[in-house]
Amino acid sequence: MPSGWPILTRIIKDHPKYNSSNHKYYTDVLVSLLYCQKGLCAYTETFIASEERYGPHNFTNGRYVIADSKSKKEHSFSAQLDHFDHSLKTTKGWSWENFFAVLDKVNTSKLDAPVDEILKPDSPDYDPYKLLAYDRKEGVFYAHPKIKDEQLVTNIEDMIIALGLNLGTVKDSRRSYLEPKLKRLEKGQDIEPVFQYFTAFEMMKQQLLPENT
Amino acid sequence: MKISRLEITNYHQFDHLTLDLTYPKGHEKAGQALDKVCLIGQSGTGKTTLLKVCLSLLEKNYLDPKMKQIMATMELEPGVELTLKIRDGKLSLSAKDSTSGKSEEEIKTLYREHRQRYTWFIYFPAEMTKLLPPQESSKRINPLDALKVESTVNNTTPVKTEMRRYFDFEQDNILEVWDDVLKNIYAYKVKEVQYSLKFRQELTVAIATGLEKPEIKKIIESDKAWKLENPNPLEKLAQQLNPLLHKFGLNVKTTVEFESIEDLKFIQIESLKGSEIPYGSWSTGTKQVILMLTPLFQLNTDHAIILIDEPERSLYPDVQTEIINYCTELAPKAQFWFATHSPILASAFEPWEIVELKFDDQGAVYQELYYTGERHIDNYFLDPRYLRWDTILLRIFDLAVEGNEQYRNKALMRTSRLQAQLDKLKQENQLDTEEGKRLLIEFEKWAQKLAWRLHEKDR
Repeated sequence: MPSGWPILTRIIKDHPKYNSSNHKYYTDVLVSLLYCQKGLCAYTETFIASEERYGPHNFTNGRYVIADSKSKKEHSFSAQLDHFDHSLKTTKGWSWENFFAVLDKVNTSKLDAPVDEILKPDSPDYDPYKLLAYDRKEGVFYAHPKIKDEQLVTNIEDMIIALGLNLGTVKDSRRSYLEPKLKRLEKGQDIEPVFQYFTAFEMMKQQLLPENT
Repeated sequence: MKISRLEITNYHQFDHLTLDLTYPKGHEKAGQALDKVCLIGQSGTGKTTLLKVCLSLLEKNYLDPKMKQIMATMELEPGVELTLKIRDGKLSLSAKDSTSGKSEEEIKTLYREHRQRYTWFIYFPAEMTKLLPPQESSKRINPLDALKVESTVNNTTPVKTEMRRYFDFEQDNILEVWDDVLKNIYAYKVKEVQYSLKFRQELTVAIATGLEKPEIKKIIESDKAWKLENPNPLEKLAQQLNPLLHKFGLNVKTTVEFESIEDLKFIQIESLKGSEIPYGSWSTGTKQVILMLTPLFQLNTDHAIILIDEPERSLYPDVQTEIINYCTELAPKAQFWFATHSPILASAFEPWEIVELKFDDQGAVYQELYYTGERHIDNYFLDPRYLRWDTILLRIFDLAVEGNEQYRNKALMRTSRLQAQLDKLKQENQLDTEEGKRLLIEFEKWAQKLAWRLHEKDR
């Protein structure tokens, strides 16, 4: 979290019961998360906003200043605040560890789905390269083929669905973003740095250029 | 007569909407008004409102005082245009001297003549099948009494000298509208029943009085001659409708059976085996096809604008694929406006014939364009005629998902994983092992659920 946000820190420590209808700090938290996530959706790695709109210069005394202005003209983000584990909403409603900024479509499709921390993006043990694989043709993530434990496979698949990794729009966007880059790589051409969908890109790159792995 | 441009300002959903309804550059009809227009868009984007705006431009009865500023260009014939303006619910006309050399006054006169002489427009609402009251099929009466009643009615009803200029199947007097559509069929049926009664009577008398064979033959010959002189309009109608009705296992009944007045009044249908299907038992799809196509066949549509709201109602996809062509072939010179939610219908249109309406962030309606740069056929990046149904749903109807994602994504994940496992076994030359066979069976099971064609090279 960027420094100089004492009020927000206090709110998070107190973490009163989350009330979705009280949006007083909603944008402050959302934009802070986007800063931590470098403007990406925490689950799908879709690019949501540039630093210009989420960077520390937008904050004063822990508040997102544009949101706090009288004009009420704030940046609009196609992002929503997601409680990773919905069941914690009442007891730890403002727990920072449970918050992620995600694509609005991902949040609305996830709703109250039960979760397993196996694919929680900030979990210390989380290693997508061991748990997931990517099918370039279909544009979908799936449970890594080396995993033999069927229950684990089912848990991973349930979480892939819950986190919206294979949502139609995400899939289309990811495929159309990565495909030209992968085609250039196949031809041995240079590519511009990737700024979203890193995990899928790295998986494909490892397949195309195994010597780099 | 065709509408080639429409501008609507501050009316219902439309803050400002301008539609260019001509063929684009590079098209063989470049600059001419479109033969058919397909309106698509989310509910509430104003498809039906646009149809009603067209009605108000065509007939003052439909004008709405809330129509503050609407302007349209109407092509009376190629090169002869008329401008119609609605200001505060009032319609006015103006015409520039045309490329055909006609003056403004001549163009206005031509417009009035067209209105008086031809069917001006036909409007089919979305709920058309519900608007026609059921026939009283239980009302059985003596045929002779029926004819007597009909004869009395014909003598006392003033003869209509003015033809109906427009046919609106949403109007209150819907039966009158249908009477006008079917008047030649009705007239034929009455004539045919009167004649056949007379014919049977003559034949019965001839046989009973022991007339010679040549006399009887003469009566039969005169019967043949009558039929040649009086062609049955139902035969022609059947030729047009039966190919489509056969899909429902039905035919238009061309013989006139005479048990009640009701039998004379409307079209009758029968199963392919010849059993009559009473009107009350018609399926909604059957009603939709007959009620929509019959007027197009019966009426002179050469100068008409035909507006059809949701023509796909109650029609199975295979019939939807054909319905647009059926309509346009029955009225080849008319301009059609279809409002639809059907991707199958949309596939029958050239991309410049589609008007896709969308809401912007502020809730105002705009037209989504399918071209970039100049409006030229080469600059269109979407053409529904070349797309699969699912691609039309994704690209044109903006469906964000490929199907039921909850199930489909699970199947995709399973097959992708099995494919990767099989690829690895193949690399290790282990496909023939128990594990390989098990995975292949599992893969094929899921691939079948996804309707994958496993013989494809890349599968």
